[in-house]
Amino acid sequence: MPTRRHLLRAGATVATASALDWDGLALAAQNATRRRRFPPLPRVNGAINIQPLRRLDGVSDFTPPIIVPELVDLQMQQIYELGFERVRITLSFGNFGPDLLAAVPYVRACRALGIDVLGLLSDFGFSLALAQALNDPLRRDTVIDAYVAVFTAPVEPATPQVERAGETALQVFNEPTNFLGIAPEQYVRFLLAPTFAALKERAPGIVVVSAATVGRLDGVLRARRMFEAGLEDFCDVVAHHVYDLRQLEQLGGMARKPIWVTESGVRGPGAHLAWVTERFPEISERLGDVQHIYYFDLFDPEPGAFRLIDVYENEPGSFATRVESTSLVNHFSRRVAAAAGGARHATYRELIPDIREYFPTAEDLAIFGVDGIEL
Amino acid sequence: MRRLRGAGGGSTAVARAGLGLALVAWGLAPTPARAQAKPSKVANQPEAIEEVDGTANSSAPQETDAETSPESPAYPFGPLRLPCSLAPCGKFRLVDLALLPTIEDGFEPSTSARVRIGNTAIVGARAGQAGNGFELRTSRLDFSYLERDGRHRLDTVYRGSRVRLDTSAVRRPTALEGGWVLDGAAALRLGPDFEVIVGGLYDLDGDSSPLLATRPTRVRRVRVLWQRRNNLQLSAAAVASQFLTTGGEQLDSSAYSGAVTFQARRLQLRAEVGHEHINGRFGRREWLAVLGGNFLVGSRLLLEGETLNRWEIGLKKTERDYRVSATLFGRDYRFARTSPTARRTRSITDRAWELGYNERRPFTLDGRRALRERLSLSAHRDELGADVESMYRSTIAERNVPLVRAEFARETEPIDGSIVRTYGATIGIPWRGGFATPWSHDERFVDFVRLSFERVEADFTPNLKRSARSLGVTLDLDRETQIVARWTEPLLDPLIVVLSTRTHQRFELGLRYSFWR
Repeated sequence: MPTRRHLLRAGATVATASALDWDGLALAAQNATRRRRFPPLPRVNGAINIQPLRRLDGVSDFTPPIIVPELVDLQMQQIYELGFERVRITLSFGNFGPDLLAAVPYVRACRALGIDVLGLLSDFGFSLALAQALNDPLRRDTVIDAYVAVFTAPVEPATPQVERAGETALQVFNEPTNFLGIAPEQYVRFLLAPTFAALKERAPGIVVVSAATVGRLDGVLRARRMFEAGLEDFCDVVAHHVYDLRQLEQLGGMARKPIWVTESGVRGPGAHLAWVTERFPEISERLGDVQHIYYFDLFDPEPGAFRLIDVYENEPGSFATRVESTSLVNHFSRRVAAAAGGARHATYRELIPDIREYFPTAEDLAIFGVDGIEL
Repeated sequence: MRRLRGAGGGSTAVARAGLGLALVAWGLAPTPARAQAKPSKVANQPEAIEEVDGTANSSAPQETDAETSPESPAYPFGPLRLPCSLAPCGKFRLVDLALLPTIEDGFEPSTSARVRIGNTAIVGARAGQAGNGFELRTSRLDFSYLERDGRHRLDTVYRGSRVRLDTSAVRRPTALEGGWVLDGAAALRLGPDFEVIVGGLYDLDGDSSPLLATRPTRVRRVRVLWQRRNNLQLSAAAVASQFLTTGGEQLDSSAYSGAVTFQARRLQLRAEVGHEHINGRFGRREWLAVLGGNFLVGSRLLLEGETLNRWEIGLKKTERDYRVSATLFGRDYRFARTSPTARRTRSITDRAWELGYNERRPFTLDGRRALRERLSLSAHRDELGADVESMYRSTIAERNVPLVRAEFARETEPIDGSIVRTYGATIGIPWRGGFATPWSHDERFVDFVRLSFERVEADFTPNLKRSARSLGVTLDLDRETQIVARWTEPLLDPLIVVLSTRTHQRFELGLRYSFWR
């Protein structure tokens, strides 16, 4: 059955019933040419947290438009142009709600650009919906099947110059004691262990990342309790969050498996650059086998704190970005430019001419059990 | 399931680790269970209020018909008949009976009874929701067996002339993969005031299991206890332990602690400090500090407070609890350690020591009752009988009768991320041959009706807050016979929600009879 994505893709390359206007055909041909000609910008700036931003007006239900394409484009363009190699994004369950749908284009577009994705199995806010579902053997199968099918299925690279599409790893919850009120050992026993088993049964090659604890000093106590409860028996990679360097003395040497620092940052744009250039190496050195550190974050609603950029509505229906963390953004840009060596590289628009190509398909909606809705 | 403290459930869903690892094993550190039991004891278990220290002149009486004794308070069932406790009482005597059925997830009976067989022994049995088992008590030997929820437990205490041996053997439920844990201690009494205690624990099944919480597998410990008269108690302990984490990691721990209890006329102070050093992959150093005090204002108002802190050097405190309360009594309040009863207890234990019985000085109602039972079963019961009876009479004379009590407790647990606040209130309607106004002062008062209410508010996350209530009524028909009723709501913590566990309100209604209480 042809899906929305299939039709859009076809429209971008070959004339079909869904792209019958000549202007569209010309644009598709032009894009195809550019894809062949220019390589993508180099990925040299590590990892970052992104949000599956879909609207700015706070509407939380299925009221259309569920996903504003321009908002996805704005963040995706930054991710691409700032040369990030990996992103971490919340795949917020919400009983297969609109925020989960919104994550789909981010995940697929990133992977098409060769960016690896760490999908966070979680719920926004303090909801227990996903925790309940994953603890119920019957619902767990449905939920895990859906996540695996939608977020780990192969994605075609946006251009042949992208050597490989990005891969998807999955992280099982975020700061469970902080957001769910679940004790660390309860998290390991009742949430991580069954989810790990279910994921490995369906996708043995997928990298499963444990939850990190809150990146404060009391997070150390919780992390230790999770390790004592056998955390490393139920994950491939251990996660930590580091916002306070005093954690490092206690966390250092705790893990025997590879570590991904899935959140790290500092409050105040003036401190961002030093945190990345000076603290990141210190974290890597003192923590153990650190493979990746995800900066927190590209965008969030709080001004002047952690985010690199602001996304705002400059006039009704039109959106734009504004750099807040100027020095760090410039640092990332310079590194990309240096790695690019002055050669011409493909622009974001050349690689992703229409972000809707990566939107949830009818097949996805059916998997999530929300078919029939208008995106 | 987390349930209202003091409502019988009393335990957090999660065992707290940390400093308590070794100290708790020793029984020195206030465990979460102990800490959580305290508020509810006050609110729902009035017998926990220290009862002692009479102003009445209770010079050692002979066995008399208590109905004519001025020391015999009047209850709704009539004046208390001071019971005979020795052989003349007959060959068989019921000393305990509890019928406490509950309705929670269906009707669950719970029954226990103990019977005294002449001057030989006391035997008992229990069945129902609280477990199935039996027990035996003689002057030197206590033995009990209890099976509950698949867990089997055997306890033995033998009191020689100088050495006291405590042993326990616990078999975990098959659902938790079974395995025996042996625990034992030998207490060498070097005098009436001083004991040295050495002991250890050995888990015969040294394998880790995802089903078992981090647990001690080997423990060695030594402790000294000095009870200087009644007003000062000092203890110090050293514990070396091996722990096995749920994930199979072995931790070595060494812990040291000291505790003091000091009693002045109007003031009692309690303090404890402890330090634990854990080696291994999850090594750390933790400290414990507990400070508590009771202060008597006037003759009837008792103010109590306690704070408990556990913390790690370099990290935030891992646990911080506070508890305060105020209680107005209907009679002059007596501290357990400064009363004539305390002095009698001390003289009895000193005398028992001279006669070859290794008896520690007890300061609670239950502890003194058990002491009386053991000594009355001893070969020297005739010699000790009068003193034992005298101690009982003064215990009655020194009863504390609470009229109004208000309590607040706050417990912070950063590891579990919870803050729990407990509000408790108790109103007692005393009896003095008829109903009495709750706020008056009369030395003839006895406990009659007590209404207790408790509300627990728990913040699990900023957006997940839950509360639960408990309401209890206790009716003292006489000193030995109580009717108790209690209703308790479950506290729906996040794990209950995540696991979709069915919860029910709990109702209890029952009868307790305790001879010689």
